Amino acid sequence: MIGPRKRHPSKPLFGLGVRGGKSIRPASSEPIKRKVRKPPPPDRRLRVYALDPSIGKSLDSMTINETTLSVPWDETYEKLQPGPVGEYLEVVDIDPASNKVYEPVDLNDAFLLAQDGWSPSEGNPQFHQQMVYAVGMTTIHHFEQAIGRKTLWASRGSTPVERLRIYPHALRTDNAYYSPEKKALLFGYFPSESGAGDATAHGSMVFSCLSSDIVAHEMTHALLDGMHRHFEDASNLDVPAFHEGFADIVALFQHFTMPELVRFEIARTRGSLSTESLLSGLAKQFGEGSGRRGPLRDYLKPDRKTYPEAREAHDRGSILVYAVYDAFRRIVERRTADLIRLATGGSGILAAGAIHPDLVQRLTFETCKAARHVLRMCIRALDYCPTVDITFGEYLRAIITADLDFVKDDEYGYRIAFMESFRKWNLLPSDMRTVSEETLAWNTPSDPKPKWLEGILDTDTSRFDKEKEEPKDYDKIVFKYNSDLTRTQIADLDRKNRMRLWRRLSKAFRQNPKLYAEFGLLPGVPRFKADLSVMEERPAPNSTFDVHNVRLARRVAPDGTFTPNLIAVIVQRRAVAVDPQDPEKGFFWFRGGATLIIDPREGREEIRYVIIKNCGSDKRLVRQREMASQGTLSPLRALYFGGGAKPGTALAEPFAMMHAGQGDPDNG
Amino acid sequence: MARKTRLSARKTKPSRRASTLRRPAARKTSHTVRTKPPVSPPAATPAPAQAGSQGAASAPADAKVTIRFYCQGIGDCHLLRFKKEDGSVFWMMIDCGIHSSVKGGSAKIDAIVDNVALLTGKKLDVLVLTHEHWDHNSGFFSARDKFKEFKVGEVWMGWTENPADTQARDFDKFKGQALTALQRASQRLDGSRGLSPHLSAIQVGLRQVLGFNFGAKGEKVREARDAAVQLAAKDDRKYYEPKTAPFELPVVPKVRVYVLGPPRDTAMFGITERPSEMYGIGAEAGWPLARALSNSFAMDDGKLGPGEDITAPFDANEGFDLSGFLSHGKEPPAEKTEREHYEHVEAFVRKHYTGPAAAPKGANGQHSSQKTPHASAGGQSWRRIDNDWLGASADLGIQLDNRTNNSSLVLAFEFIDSGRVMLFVGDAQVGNWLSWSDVKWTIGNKTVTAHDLLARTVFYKVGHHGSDNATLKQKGLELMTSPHLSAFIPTNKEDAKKVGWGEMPFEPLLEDLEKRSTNRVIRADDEWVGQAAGQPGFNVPFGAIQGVRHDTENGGLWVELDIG
Repeated sequence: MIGPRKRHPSKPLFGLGVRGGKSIRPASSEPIKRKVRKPPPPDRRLRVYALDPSIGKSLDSMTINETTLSVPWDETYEKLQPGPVGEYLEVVDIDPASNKVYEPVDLNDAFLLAQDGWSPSEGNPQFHQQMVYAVGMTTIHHFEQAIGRKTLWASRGSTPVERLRIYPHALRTDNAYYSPEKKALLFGYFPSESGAGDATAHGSMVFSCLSSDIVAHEMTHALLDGMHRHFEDASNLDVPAFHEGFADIVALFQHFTMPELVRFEIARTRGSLSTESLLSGLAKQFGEGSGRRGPLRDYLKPDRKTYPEAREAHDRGSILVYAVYDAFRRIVERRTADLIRLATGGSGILAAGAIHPDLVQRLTFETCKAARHVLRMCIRALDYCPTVDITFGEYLRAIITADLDFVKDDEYGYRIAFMESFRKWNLLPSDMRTVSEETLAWNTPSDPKPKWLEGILDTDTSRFDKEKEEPKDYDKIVFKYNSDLTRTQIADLDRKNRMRLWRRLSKAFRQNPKLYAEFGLLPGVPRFKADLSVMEERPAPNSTFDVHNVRLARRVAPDGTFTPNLIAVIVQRRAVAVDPQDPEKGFFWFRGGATLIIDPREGREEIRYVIIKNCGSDKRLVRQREMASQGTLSPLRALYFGGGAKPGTALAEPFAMMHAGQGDPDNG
Repeated sequence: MARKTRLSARKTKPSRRASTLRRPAARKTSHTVRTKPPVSPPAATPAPAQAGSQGAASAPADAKVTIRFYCQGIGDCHLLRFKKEDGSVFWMMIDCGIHSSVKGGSAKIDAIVDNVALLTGKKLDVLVLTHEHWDHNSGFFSARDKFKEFKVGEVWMGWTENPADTQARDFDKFKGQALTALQRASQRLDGSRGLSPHLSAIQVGLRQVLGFNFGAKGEKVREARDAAVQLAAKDDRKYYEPKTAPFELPVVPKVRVYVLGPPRDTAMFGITERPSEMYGIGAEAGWPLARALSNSFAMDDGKLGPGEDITAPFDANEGFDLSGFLSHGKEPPAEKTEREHYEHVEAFVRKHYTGPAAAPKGANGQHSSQKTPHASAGGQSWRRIDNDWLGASADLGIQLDNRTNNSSLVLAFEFIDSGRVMLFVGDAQVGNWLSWSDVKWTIGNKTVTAHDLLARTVFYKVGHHGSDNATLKQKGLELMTSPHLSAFIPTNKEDAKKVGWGEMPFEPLLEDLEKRSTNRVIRADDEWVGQAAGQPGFNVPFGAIQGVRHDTENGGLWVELDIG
């Protein structure tokens, strides 16, 4: 205890615990200057319809009509322009069928900033622009969070496309699609054909751009196209189905990022995800408006078609969604079982009536958390997918491998849930003898540390920054983790890295032609022109191949540290006759190659996984040939609009035709 | 012997006859071993029958009917010859048309009509019009002067053509609206330069759909149908539907006619009336796609004023006229705030739609130093959507085509003694076929279902020229289990290819049909039909088929089947 001070009460007590304190004096009595760190720009808050306008038209659900999305500020380099036109998206509201241009919304308008944007309204085109922008940015955000890097749009030829264009009122029909040709989303509107029991009045206008599900779905098509350009080639039935199914997965799980919606539905269904609810259905108003008497797709009500039977892309794709949604429901059940036990005194049987708000809150929290995990698992797996000719079974392998790389301990059994569900839906890879994490994870090559891999990463990231000429044979990959690159600069760096890796690989192939086979490539493949004719022969040991993608992903090492993962995609294409007996029937591209997942750290270079699609596989060739001669369109559409006499030629707008064709009569 | 001919025919180049490529007789077949050599058709042996082949050849005595199929390619015209009680002939013609894309089509039709005239003495007891498509009734227009000399007893049609039926009238009106809208869409696409591959494909497809509704010179299918209808007096125009009680042909003994389609399915034909439609928002009848398109054209023409287009997304005062910005000729408003407002939007449109593309910017707002040209360099035309909304016309075209085909009159002829059935489906599509599951009739004290009839079918006129979804698999072909099954496909693969049809005939269907009928499938473009000495690739007589003959003088104008 310190006794009462005798002299000046505010004078410091000398020598208190400081050795030699008496002789040390502060050099200056001025305080060290510091200031409060300026927080990063907040999220931009924008109001949207939680699902679509039909929710607010019913007394039962009117309270969850709207929600406010928080999207990234999107002004890293430039102010958000009217449109909105930002770093990723440009909304251009032109409606040629009505001969109209609707005034672009300026989200930086002070009044709009003060009130989270326009309030939801069907009759205000500026709100429509705001909503497509907000939902679109949300989807982009989910992707970037999952893959840990900035997303890029598919390039046009070899030139990068900076912004995806969105036309909210482009079509006068019950359709919306992503146009790979225009790198744009086109949304339609139409007067509703709904019936008496529907929430949507007959004849009232239905806007596909006001359905957050449809926006998320189309946005996912665009994002997926940016990552996997060849998933547009319908080389087997699963490929177009994967595009559709994956887009539905993202749209579906985006429901669970709106806690107020989840909370409302959990309270209503007393915590059961297996009760009919708004959460499991997609595009309710659109479905009612096009005369379906309910949502466009409902993932609680299984379709009667099984995996082998379902040939149409949406039908088949929805089987993938059922599998993922089932897995998710099981995971949620597991995560919330203890809460239900706690709330019921261990009986697990809830009392009649409404459940306690605290329980609703906790269940909502767990459900949303699981949904976030599952969505990230699904998106992250894209980096681990084969680059061409994907099947649902291979997607499961990608999910499992990616998750192994990220979460060491699978405490809640996410991976088991996925395996169980895929098994239930008959989606396992056809060549598996046993089903377990080890067998499903991708393999490593027999020589995981080949010589050509050594020193693949250049640690000097600023080597060619100042327009210094890059040597013609430079073959190291440069990543600028530390600089703040625009997406255009990233695309530019990508292009250079692909070239550098190509140089490195072709050197390795020339030295050891046996290496081709290890990557599923063939020697002696000529260079082709875009019209599938030969441009230049490349006799063995030479060949033609393309480094399609070089990207950096991160993973969590078992010790908990973040580690870079280098993903390299090598593709080769061959022009193959649809009918070997009859070259008149045309040719198609047959692609193959490898996706390599590499640990690029200096001195520890290793190919961790290799995913091969053999360019010389006869089995795949037969399958693709069958697809090329049959196509994926409904018979009548194929007859008139399927590109006619040239089977195998790709559809110009695959998504436009497929989405529209859903209502076509098909063959019984 | 015939087997050898067929094998050698595989190597010979298909001969061009009457500008129609015929398919080689050899086909894939699982029946490589024949237990007995094929017998040439008995009727082909007597010389007089061969020589006078333009006239009536003598059919075997016990043949119940002889059907002459004209082989114009993509188009239907079948002449049925029943025997009356008094020994004279009862003539029935089913359709007479050729698709407008086939070159020299009307000359072919003229030859057919002359042949029919010669054979029948210009007298038809019944004329059946299956549905309103050019490839089924162009002849009544292009050869109308020839048909004027014909005496037609009755004309049979589906209920959908009946002007006294309210639902049929609606259907008729909506079809007309759809057709007009499609024509406009097609014209607009034709008038646009630099169409994207997607829109070019739609342009081509649209022409094909319209080819079923218009002649090569734009003649309307309506005129052709009406010309045919008018061949019979008003009281002799009969409209049938599945609820029509099966009836026996008046003077022909023991032949009963069943009507399987078109069904009275308002949803299938897009004529559903819902209570809300009467007084709801936008109470305007028609198919939604047709309405959306035609309203847009009407706005263009000034036929609809601002605010009158109920398919427009917003109130008329929302937004600015796009054409004003595109043509650059429009004066901005005079009033200051309005003008600023206008100029603000105009600048946006120029920057993001019509004008040259902006170069991408770097991290610090400077133009990036990258050397690769930006994707949008040289304008934004590749991203514009001026005509993409016309893509809906593909959906409408499919809808119209499907609905018109589904309005096909489907007739089954039953020979009462043997129970054998001949099935003429017009171009009925999936929906029409599916509806047969619910169709049944009471004959005496017995119930007959449509599926019974399918099981007893010994002859099937293949629908829609052998395309994929005009012959149902599970509830159609698989129910045709008679070992006597035979079929005729009015198609020509080369012609279909020329106009860019995907698969007509559809190979898997053809294979299945050949398997089920033990190769008794005749195609209008069969090579043997075009050769004087040609032989069919199957045994005759066999079961219900008692004889096969073909035209040996005019390069295979027709092929004839005796069915007993």
